[in-house]
Amino acid sequence: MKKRGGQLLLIACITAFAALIFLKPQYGVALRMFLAGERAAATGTAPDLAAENEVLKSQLAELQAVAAQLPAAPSHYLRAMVYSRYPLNFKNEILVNVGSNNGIAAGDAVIFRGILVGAVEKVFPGSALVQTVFDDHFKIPVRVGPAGNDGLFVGGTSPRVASIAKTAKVSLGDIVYAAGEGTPYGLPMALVASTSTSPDGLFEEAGLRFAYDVNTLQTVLVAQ
Amino acid sequence: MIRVLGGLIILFLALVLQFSLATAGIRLGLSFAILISFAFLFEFWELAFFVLLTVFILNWQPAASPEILTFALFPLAVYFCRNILHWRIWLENLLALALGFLVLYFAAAPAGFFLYWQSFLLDVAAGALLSGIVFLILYRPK
Repeated sequence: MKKRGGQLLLIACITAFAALIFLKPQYGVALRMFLAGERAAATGTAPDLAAENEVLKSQLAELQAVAAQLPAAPSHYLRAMVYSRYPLNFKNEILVNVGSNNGIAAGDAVIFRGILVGAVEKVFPGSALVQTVFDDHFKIPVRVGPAGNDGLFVGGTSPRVASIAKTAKVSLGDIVYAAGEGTPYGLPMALVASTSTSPDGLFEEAGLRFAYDVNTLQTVLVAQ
Repeated sequence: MIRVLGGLIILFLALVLQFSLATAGIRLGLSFAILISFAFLFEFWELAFFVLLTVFILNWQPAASPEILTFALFPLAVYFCRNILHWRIWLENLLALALGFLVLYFAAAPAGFFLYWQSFLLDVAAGALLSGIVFLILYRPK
């Protein structure tokens, strides 16, 4: 009887999880964020919390005043929060909380602080999957440095710019910017951190340095 | 029920470890390895509970994907096949781990599997280590 009761409880939990997976996946995301350590502190005595509350209110008022003077998201860009990240090591994707309901389409550029971080790959009504520049399959034509030398940005764990002509003059610190179809021209992507010759000896290649950590992105802008 | 609670704690710890390593850029399928080990240690409904909970937490997009389907179905398949070989249970677990990650890698990256062979070996090694700990805590010979 006890065993049957336990089994029934498990079946009830299984049914609940199955329903949540399909109907309310955001609770899974919230649980994942909790397990990943992205949670707010909730400790302290009542007087401590009241004092902290007051400090936070004044900081909020100050920031609201500052924010009012900052430009809003550039026109034709929509601010989005990063919902979740691909959990395995085959791809580098993030899910953002804007989708077709917000006018987002596959191929839209995604930026962070003005830097191209990826492109929308798949769109759902309320969310979109973004392939980041650290995905192995991400490739885009780029230009390098003030001379605008042509190259091909190749994504991966250590992205690089390949297929740069051997006669091109590429220096450390040169800017790498997007020059591909469907992506706003001139969007910065990274800086040149090293140069080398391709394995076949026919081209130059450039190792890159990025100004952000893709694992900690919380909010991005999506081009509309 | 105490064993299920123990399994739940182990699964949550594996998930926390998996997410912590992912933040550092090391992505291992620790939860997948745990689920495969659980296929040898728990009954069907208990295993289904763990599988669905893991899928609920890990699913990163509002649609089924080959990776999530493999996560969900492979441990259940192991459960139904666990008495076929009649080898030592730890050896069967190791074989299931290797086969499971092979299926997962082919499901996620069919064309580029051979690019990820080092990650595959790392996954199997980490999974084997974790499985050993799980068996030490939860395995009771009948």
